[in-house]
Amino acid sequence: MNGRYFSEMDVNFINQINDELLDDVIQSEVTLFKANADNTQTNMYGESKPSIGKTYYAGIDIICLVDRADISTDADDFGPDRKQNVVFKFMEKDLQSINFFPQSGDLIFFNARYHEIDDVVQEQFLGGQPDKSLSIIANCHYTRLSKVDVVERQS
Amino acid sequence: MAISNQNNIRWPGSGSAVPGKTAFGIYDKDPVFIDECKRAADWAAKRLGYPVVAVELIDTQFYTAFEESVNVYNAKINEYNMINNMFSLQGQRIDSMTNLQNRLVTGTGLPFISALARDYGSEAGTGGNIDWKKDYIQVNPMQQDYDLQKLIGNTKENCSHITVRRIFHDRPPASARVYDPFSMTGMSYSNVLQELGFGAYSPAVQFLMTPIFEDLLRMQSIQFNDMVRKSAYSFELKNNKLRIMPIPTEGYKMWLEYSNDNEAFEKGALSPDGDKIASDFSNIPYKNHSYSDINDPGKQWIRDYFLANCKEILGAIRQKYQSMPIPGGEVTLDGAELRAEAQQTKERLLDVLREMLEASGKFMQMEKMSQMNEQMQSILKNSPLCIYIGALALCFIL
Repeated sequence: MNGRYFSEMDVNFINQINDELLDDVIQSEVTLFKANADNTQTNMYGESKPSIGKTYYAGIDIICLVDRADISTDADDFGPDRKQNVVFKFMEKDLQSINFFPQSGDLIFFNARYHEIDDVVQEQFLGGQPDKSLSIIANCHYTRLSKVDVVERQS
Repeated sequence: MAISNQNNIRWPGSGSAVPGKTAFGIYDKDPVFIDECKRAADWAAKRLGYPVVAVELIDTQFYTAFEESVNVYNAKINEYNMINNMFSLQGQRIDSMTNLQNRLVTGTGLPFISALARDYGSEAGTGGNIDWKKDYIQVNPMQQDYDLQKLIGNTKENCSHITVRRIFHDRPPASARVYDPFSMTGMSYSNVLQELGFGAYSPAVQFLMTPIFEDLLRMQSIQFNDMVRKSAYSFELKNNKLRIMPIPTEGYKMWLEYSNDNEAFEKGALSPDGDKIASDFSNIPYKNHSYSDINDPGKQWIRDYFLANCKEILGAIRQKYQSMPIPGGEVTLDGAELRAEAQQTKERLLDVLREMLEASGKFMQMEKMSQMNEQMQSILKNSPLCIYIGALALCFIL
């Protein structure tokens, strides 16, 4: 049931403003890597890591808003460990157009760093109407390159 | 990666054909308007930030805003023309005033003022639009009071209220009561009168025999006698109720003149031309000027007003929601600023136009001309004045 506000025309207008803001003004381009569960080797606990065969699909470029927290560095006996939480905010329609739904474990490449998705939030409904979901927000953490061990191959 | 399928609600860089895209289609057949409309849309889009930023307006909105601007300009010009020429145009037949928007009205408005003055003529009995009707009542012996509304208004004027204008209640004139001892003696008086062109003139037929002052003295004697020794003829009239003095001793017809108050309104206050005349501001037949007839200063005013219109529309669009949702947050657009700026610009433009129209009006132009004449005389006062006498020219420096 459509509400009194946020008609199709209004939603179009909001999408248009967002397109201009994201695509033309901010232009933060990221690359999404979907985890390839079928070709990933897991141990007896269902865990995986690149060294035993965790693989990802080829990356897809997309524009989004990026909200970066400050980097914190913990220094202990094992040496310094840099940590950063990063929030990637996507227009849901943009993700639909590339047929991509981010999930925990997927990677997002931005600013020459890889970020692993911790959880995904899909709660921004225009006018409170679930069928008019505007965004998908991926809460990520900065992951070490050695942990990801991504090797670029010819597709 | 740009994901956009919303190009239909933002300016794409050029507009489609103008005819049929304006709100009223008033100027759709004017090629100058059509050309200007497209150019103005392009210009306004650039002034609003295109192509660096998107402008959420499409061609129909630009075209409608442009048509509105021309309409506002035309309306203001025509309003001022109507105010300036109201006395000349009001009361004129509508079908005789075609293409008024392109015509110079030079009349002074005197015919209209004369028409207004007719009511005064009606009241004074010297012209006007309403009839003074003459009728009589039968005066009865010993009856002083008569209700004229009942006797005349209710019976002969269909219960309309009447206003009594004149009552003929006076003694017979002294001239009718002069006794002429020489009448019917000697030469026939009728022959004498006919010869002198005074047929049916009754008294003092033998005036040829006596000086005129004798007639005057005799009539004056009769009048003084009436005035001093007899009751005066007079009457009171209150709310169309008549009391006559003295108490009548015999019956007679008393004549009077009156007017019907309803007729006074219909004939006096309402124009006899019915609804075919220009009665007021609403039906003086001014039409919009063609865009191609408007001069360059006028076109520039229209463009400025058009840009303000576009800002206002764009502001309204961007301000429909107080804040615009974006992924995980919201932003505030510049709708309020655009609307405020547009409002200020429109008010300023209207003020400027009003001032220009007032300055170009008949009254102000006459005032300026008068001032100019005074200044010219002041300047010429110091110029050499030549006086020509016969064939010689003498020059004096004042």
